[in-house]
Amino acid sequence: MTEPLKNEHAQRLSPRISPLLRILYPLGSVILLLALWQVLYSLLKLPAFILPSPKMVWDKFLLILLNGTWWHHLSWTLLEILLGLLIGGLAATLIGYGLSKLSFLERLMAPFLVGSSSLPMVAVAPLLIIWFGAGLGSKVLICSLTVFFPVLVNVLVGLRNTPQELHELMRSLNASPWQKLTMLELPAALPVLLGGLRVGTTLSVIGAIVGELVSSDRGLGFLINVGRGQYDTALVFVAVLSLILMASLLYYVVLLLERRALVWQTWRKDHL
Amino acid sequence: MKKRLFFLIFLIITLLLSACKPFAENEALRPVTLNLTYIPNVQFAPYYVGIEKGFFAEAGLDVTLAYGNEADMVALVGAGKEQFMIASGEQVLMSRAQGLPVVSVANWYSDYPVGVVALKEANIQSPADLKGKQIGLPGLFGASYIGFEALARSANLSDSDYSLNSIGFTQVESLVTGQVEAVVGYVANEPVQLKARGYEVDVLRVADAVDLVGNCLVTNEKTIADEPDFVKAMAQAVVKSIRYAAENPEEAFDICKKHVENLNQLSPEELEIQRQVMLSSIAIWQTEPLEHVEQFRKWQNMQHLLLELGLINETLDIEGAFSDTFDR
Repeated sequence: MTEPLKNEHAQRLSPRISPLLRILYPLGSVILLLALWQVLYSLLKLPAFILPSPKMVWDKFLLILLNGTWWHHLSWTLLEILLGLLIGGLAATLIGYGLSKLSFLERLMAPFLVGSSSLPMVAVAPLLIIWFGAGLGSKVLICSLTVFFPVLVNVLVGLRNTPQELHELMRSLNASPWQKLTMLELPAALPVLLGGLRVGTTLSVIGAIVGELVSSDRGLGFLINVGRGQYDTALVFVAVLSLILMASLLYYVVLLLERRALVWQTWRKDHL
Repeated sequence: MKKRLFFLIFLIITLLLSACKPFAENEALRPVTLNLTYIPNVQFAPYYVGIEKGFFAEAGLDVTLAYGNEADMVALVGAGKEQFMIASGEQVLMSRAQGLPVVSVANWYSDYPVGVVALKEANIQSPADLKGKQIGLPGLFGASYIGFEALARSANLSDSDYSLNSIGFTQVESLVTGQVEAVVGYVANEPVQLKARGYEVDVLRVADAVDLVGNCLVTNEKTIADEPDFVKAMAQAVVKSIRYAAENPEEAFDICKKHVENLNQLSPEELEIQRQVMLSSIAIWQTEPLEHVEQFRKWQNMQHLLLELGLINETLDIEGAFSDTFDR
């Protein structure tokens, strides 16, 4: 009796749609947005430096895509984001694991962990650039810091939520610390950890842009500054839309990784 | 599947590494960074000219240009972490008041480059007309703020006589959309941008009301004391570059295209606006070194204004803030 009910509940929560519709829905929303934009442009008749038309933005995109400018800047921002994710995510995981083992240290750090979530990176970024220079290093550091705290908190939550009886089982089996880590703690914490990484990915994009807007000579943030300085608003739009696209792609890559890494969970749900 | 994943990762890493340019070294020349504020812009034409025409190289310098926040860069130069930058006169005095030993060694602008810009219909013809008006400026900091206060004070106006709105660097947009009645900006930029887009404007130049120190080449006392020849080489190369760019504006503009991102991708109309911005900028450059007495007077005016505004608390030794022994 419970099985059909469970299935019905699951279906109500996520109704199955065909793969075609799955593509058509977001595509439709993009087309709708573009149409709305064009209507606004035609109605308001604002100068192009205040609101360019979708075609102006598209033409600008093609221009900088074909002459290599787009990739020149996008690749730099992507490099900052990926390095920031790697360093910030790794540091947060290692420190988070350490803190979970030493509860007094966690209690000691608690005020910082709570406060850090509201760290105004826009205010801190100029200082980091003064201390560490205007190059790649300071941007990567800003990205790492934006990624670090959400991942750290998720690592702590993930490790703390490991069922106590499983810990006791591992103890009764005389498992070594390494076995406990790889066979119990890491798999148990992985869903929450990857969730944190997903949040960190979008935050990392914001971190990179904040750093580039403060001081840079390359990257999409720099391109935004250039566009603003030359009243080339179409260029600003291209840079902003590229950022949105990049952030979305990175988000889906992490989501894909998450699904792949947590395939055992789906298996467990289906078979147990 | 794994192979494809590895190939994908390899491809991404290769593409990202291709984004990093190899570092070229020129051993004969001394590498030095010249910190400009803002972003790459045609107004910085002299420095692009100095690089491309080899004026810096002739002086034994391999100059790299960097861009960023003026206040941050002054702190770096004052602390000795950087050696040269372009800064406005008020930044020099305010930094010295904070104990940062920065010194101006060559003038770039002869006039203070800030002004109030309003559309014709607002009928703002003199500083006295600013009374009761909504004024937009980037914020209560920097050259725009200092310049506006100088202008307002020249008409015996104080902050209670007008409303100052921090609008960031959206002066042209805010004025056109009627969010403010006048904006404070660079006389070589915003008025040119507006006129080129068909708007009739009135401009009140700060330089017409009071003579203040504009942008100059700034270093620190330690560099001056330890390496006066290095400072002289830099100052003279900058002066030569300013003069050459002013005398050869078309060539200077072509050189800008190599250094200012996106310039080549602008429409012919937009490109012409940028050319006009550069030409307007040239009009306020200091192409001949200024006499000591003249310089001293400008610095004294600036100090007087900063004291009135409460941005510095005590009188400084003006002679320590600038030097005219390097640029001639």
